[in-house]
Amino acid sequence: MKRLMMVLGMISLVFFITANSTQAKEPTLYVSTLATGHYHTGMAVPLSALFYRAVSADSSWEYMGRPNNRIFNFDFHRASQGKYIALATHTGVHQSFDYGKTWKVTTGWRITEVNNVAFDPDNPDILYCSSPYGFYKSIDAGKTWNKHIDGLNSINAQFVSSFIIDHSNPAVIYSATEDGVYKSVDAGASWEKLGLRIKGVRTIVQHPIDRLSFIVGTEDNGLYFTHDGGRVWERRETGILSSTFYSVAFDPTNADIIYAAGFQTGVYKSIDGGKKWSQSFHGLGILDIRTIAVDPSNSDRIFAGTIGKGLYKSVDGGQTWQYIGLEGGYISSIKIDNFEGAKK
Amino acid sequence: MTNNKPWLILLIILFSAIHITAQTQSREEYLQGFEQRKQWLISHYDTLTRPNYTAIAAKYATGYDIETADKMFIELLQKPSGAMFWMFPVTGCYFAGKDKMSAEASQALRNAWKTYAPSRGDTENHWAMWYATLLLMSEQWPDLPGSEWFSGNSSVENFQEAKEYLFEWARITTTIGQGEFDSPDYILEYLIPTMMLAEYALDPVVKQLGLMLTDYIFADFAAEHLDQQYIGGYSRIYERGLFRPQYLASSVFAYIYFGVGEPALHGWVIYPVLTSYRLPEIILNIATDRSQPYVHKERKRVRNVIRHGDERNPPVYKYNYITKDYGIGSLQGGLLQPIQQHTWGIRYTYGKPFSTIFGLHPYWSTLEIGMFFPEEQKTSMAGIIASKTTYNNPDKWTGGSPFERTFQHKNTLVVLYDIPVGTTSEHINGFFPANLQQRIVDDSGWIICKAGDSYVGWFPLQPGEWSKEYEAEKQRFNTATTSSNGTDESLLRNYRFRSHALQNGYVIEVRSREQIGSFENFKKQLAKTIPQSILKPGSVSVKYKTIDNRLMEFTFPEDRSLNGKSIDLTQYKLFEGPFLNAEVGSQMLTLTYKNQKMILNFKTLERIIQ
Repeated sequence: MKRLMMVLGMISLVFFITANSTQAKEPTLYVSTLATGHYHTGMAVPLSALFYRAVSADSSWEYMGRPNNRIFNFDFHRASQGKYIALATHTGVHQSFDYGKTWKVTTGWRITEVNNVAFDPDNPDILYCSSPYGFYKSIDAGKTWNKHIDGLNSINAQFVSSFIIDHSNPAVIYSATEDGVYKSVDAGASWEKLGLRIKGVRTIVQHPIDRLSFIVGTEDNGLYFTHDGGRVWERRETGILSSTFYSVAFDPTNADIIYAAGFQTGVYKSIDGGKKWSQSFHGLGILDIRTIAVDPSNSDRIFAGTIGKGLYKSVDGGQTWQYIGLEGGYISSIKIDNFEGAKK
Repeated sequence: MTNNKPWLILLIILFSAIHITAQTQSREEYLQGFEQRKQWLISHYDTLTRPNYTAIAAKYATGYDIETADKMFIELLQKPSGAMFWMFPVTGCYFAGKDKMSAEASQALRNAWKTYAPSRGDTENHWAMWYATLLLMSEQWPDLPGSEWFSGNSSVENFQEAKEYLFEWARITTTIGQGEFDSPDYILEYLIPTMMLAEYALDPVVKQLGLMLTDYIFADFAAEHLDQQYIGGYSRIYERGLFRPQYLASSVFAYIYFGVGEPALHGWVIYPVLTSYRLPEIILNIATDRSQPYVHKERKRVRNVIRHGDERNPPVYKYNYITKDYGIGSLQGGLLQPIQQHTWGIRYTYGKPFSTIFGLHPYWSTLEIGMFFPEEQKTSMAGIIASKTTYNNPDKWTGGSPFERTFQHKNTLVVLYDIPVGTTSEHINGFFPANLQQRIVDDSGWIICKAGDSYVGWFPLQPGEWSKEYEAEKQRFNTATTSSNGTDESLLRNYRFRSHALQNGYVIEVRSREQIGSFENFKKQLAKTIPQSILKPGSVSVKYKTIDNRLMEFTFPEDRSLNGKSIDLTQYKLFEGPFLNAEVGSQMLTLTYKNQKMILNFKTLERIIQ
């Protein structure tokens, strides 16, 4: 029954994406950069900003704002068509309420070195962000923020590298921390530790259909999978020669196809749900990859953001790569969307 | 450098040569000397023609060529960069020239604060500069909406956030100690914002806070000062400053504000000297009276530990012993600050600039990086190495180690190491300057050194090897590089004592001629006092009876006893000594010098001078 539901889910997802991709305009590629080359405090950071361009175009990048801030991640409120944007930066959360035309730092001095930010998909007034000091929530569009570390009982647990909101229930949040994976079922108010006893979890992704299946990427401990919501975890390493993964992405049209990348990895690909992996780096100018994204309108089109060497694109499902700009950029996050608003 | 006022330079040199100490000069004479040193510093910058903010501030302050200052200011403000290292110079320039600059220059400044979004950085000195200058600028344009500021927040919001942070910083500093403590380099980055607040803040409460923090930082330095040198362990120092302290900001402050030592320059010190702050007499006396040897203890705070630790801000315990001839000081050891920690050292009045002896375990790791920096550990290492080029060098002369611990009592120091196999690095190093008058490897096992009237004994617990290190020519001026492989004996900087044993350590004894008489007697006394040690993995200890019969027993990492009585570092106060005293949590520092007293009460913001 579960299997049947998954198949039906996949069919509906493919239909949804196909329908959208035929109706919608050219999707847009949004990219944030952390810094240029080897950053240190005080130096100019010309590439630190949010950029966009058409996914398939060869045109130059359009700038969306917040130069000289080290942007670790960003989020759009999708239902608002990109009217509300939040950036996770070294200097806190920066928000735009007008499609990126103007910006405001909303977090004050108590929140710093923010590495992830996300809107509640149903309510743009609710935002979450994480930092090496814990997890934070705003329920008034960033006017005030509260720290939520109930259950994150150690310095390592409070070092939240990233988090995701369950795609079926926005009250459920999973955090990748220095002390394993934590789960909240009350919209971040409290946390419980899941089964993985691995340090240095950097990223967590949820299976696009099966909400109990997750993959985490770690620093030094490879990739771990769970299919029961985090009780039992299994390391998958067949074909993997690397140990540090900063980014994992499912093919949204075929969840058996998974990409993973990190420090000295190039891009790894699995076509059997993560059982076996093959490495791809043909055309990549560097093996250190911070983030990868799959174009939902054409899943052969993959983007890889490197650490200090700009952005690369593959049009053959990750077999070969070509450089597409943002020279010298430490690419921190990539998103592909097709809403209208977040372009000037 | 432009010497447009040769008479002033001559006067200053004469003044320095006379070297009037605080005890022999009146307050009036001190203030007169201060004014001369201040003018001397400004005179190096006010005629510069290449655009830079120091020149602009100097021109505005002196009124020399305002037109050029305006042009420079407008030109530089077109391309702001440098984050908080941009914020304080432009703020300083603005206040120096506020009533003199053109409307166009003023508008250029205003526009820059609207369009340029400076990063806030990640350290205490970054935040002090960032928030102090944001507050001051917000006061100057108090009614602007968020659209007129880079932050998107209004003047009122910027001011409130900055004020709240600055008071929180003061609170934590005066309750559990300063982070980024006692840095001979970064003292500048604290004094600039505090002195600017004291001078330019319109809010009287903030102004008072700035004044008291300035006193606090100067007092902290004064109690650990000897002959233009910062004594003891530091949170941060660049290597070149260890060897050539004339490049250190603390040396410039010692010269300008304490009136001690050789003329020393730093362009950024122009911003403090342009304020009306004058060092209180009691702090000057504390800085300069070394007639009696003294022990000075402090508790400071580790920078925020963000992973791989049990405590966010573990305490730092600092111990100093200072005489008129030398000072020896130490931190308790371990990783207390990333990359640039200086755990212990001896400094003396002879043979500057190379007037120091110290040792360390040259450690580096992704663990250390991960403890303090939020980025991915693997990739951030490359960034660290790019900006702090010596970090992963086994020959480096700065940095703490989790495998190093110290135990100091007065002028005796024991340092122990228990280094696991595979650690970077698998050796320890000792620095002995080449200009020592004597460096004898005695049959007793002691390395015995003479530096003027200061004598140093170093007993290595394990064998080692000597090598020579030469100073790179360019290092004499301004680089962070370590030694060169030269053979020019005129550039010989130091001898390195390296020991490869992983369970290791040494005992240090320091005395002055005044304390022990002749160097020969010092040698004789040392030969009678041989440390007993156990050096096995997981079991490293030493038992040592000092040359004046104090029994020190130390088992790595934290078991210390003196004359059979256990030493409890957790009892350390924020400050404890003849000059400075403060209880943990008190928010109150008491300064004492003979019949003078000063109280800095940060709870009530009272600054009482008696």
